[in-house]
Amino acid sequence: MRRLNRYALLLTAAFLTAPLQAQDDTLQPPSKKEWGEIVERSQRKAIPEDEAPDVVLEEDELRVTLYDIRDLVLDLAPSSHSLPKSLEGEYVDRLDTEHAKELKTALDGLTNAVRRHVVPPMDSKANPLGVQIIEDRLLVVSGTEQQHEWVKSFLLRLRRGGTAMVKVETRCIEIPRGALAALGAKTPPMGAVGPEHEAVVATVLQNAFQKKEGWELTSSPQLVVHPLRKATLSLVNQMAYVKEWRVTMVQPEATLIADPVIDVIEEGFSFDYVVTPLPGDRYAVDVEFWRAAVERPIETRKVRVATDPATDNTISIPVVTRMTIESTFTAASGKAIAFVTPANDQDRDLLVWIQVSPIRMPGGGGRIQALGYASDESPSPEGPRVEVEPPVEPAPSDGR
Amino acid sequence: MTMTNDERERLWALVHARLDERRDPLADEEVTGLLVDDPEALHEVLDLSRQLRALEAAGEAPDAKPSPWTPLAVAAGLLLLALGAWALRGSGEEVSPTTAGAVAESEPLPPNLDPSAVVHRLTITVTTERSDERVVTRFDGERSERTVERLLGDDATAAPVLATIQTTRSIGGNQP
Repeated sequence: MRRLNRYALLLTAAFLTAPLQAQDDTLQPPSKKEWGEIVERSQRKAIPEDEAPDVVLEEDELRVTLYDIRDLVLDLAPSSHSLPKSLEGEYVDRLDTEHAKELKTALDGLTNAVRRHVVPPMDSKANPLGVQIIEDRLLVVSGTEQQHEWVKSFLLRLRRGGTAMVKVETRCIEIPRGALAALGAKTPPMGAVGPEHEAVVATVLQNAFQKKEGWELTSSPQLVVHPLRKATLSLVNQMAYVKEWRVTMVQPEATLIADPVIDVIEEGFSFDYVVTPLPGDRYAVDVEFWRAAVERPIETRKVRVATDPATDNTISIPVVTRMTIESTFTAASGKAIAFVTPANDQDRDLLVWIQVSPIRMPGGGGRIQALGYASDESPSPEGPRVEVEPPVEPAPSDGR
Repeated sequence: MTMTNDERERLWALVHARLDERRDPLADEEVTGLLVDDPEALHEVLDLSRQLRALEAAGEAPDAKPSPWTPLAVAAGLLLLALGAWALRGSGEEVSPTTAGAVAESEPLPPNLDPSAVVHRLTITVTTERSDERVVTRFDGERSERTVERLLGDDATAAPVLATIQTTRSIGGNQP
């Protein structure tokens, strides 16, 4: 593990100190000679011969591969191409422009997507290098053969329209408590309802749309989101009410008056989504849902204040139910997941239904056209760029 | 759909090798590793397995008479099935959600293959607050805990817990 750590540092250092010779519009993989120089330079850092990185990789059955993702970066952060050329090769962390922030968001999203969803999962202790992005255009993955196959599939998925925006439909429906069980779904009072209960959920949606008594569609937001980025939707209403009365002395005549204490309750809902396209026409969805609702009618009470014992003053005693749902799920395109939870402490449940589906843009995806493919052509499965895999044969290049 | 031709060839070579060994190809880690990203190929493998089972069942029928042609017929059947699967390999059609869902619902999937929807993590917290009481219900995917607290007003430093109830439940939905 220590050797892998060292290798991670050396690999990063090697690329920092000797950035690849990038041409204007294409990134060439390092030639065998250049790769040898990089490895040689790293070995000069007092690494014993028997701890050479390649030996370590063989022992641990891990292989490091560099994937050229510059085309994907342009898709995920379209404005990044307008960064000044003088900044090429700089770490985006050092930059402070909006474009750089967009680029950093895209790179972080891509890195996190691989780390979180790679199959089989990565063991960060046994594989400290894991997933990195260097020079804003090379995805460095240390992993097993299976993990590399997944990464290839994932990148291919992104290149085949996976960077296009996706639609997230959400429906929040209040239903009578135990309604799902009554409809035949053996679900717990709190939990997830999968596609195996699709028919039951369809009945719930139908009842809500038909506004049957006891079934209420409380919100039905639809979001069109960029994949790999956090998207937020919130609708919050502030409700003020008199919580209590206090006696306050006011000057200059030292008069005692009844002073209402106003409290504010925020009610509404918010959603946070991160959608990750996965191989096999699937999506991973990280969702955080928050809802606060005040039970109506709001209970009130009459109180009398010492300053004016003959007058009734009113205070409100609202009952507020707040709920949060945090989940990560994967679903095939067009398949839905629903979450069910008590909506209040008495007789209502809440069903939150979420479905992710791609948006079919007329004329094909923008990236494909931008790269010069006709809209009805598929890009090469290997992507428009060369995958950098050490060691490689020298690539035909005029300037190298 | 997401496999390269080389991966396809590797997959089918492995599937036939496992079948030749009279083993379930879906119990092979490499096979499932290749299939995990390609529901279409999974469907083909499942079809092949099902048809082979049907062939075996027909061969084991009590009134079936042994014939010197039986091995040849089985081999021919296998060849036809393999050719059929090979012909399907390059179709390049997108797997529709319905297809993926149908696979998940009609076939018992190996544990490392995702069905059409899987919940990996789920936490639900519901808090009902009144003027003098707070009821908190937390569900972490496996168990739920319900806590009742007495609110003592603004001057109170801590709300005493009146009761805590724990129950264990299934997360619901599909599980990885």
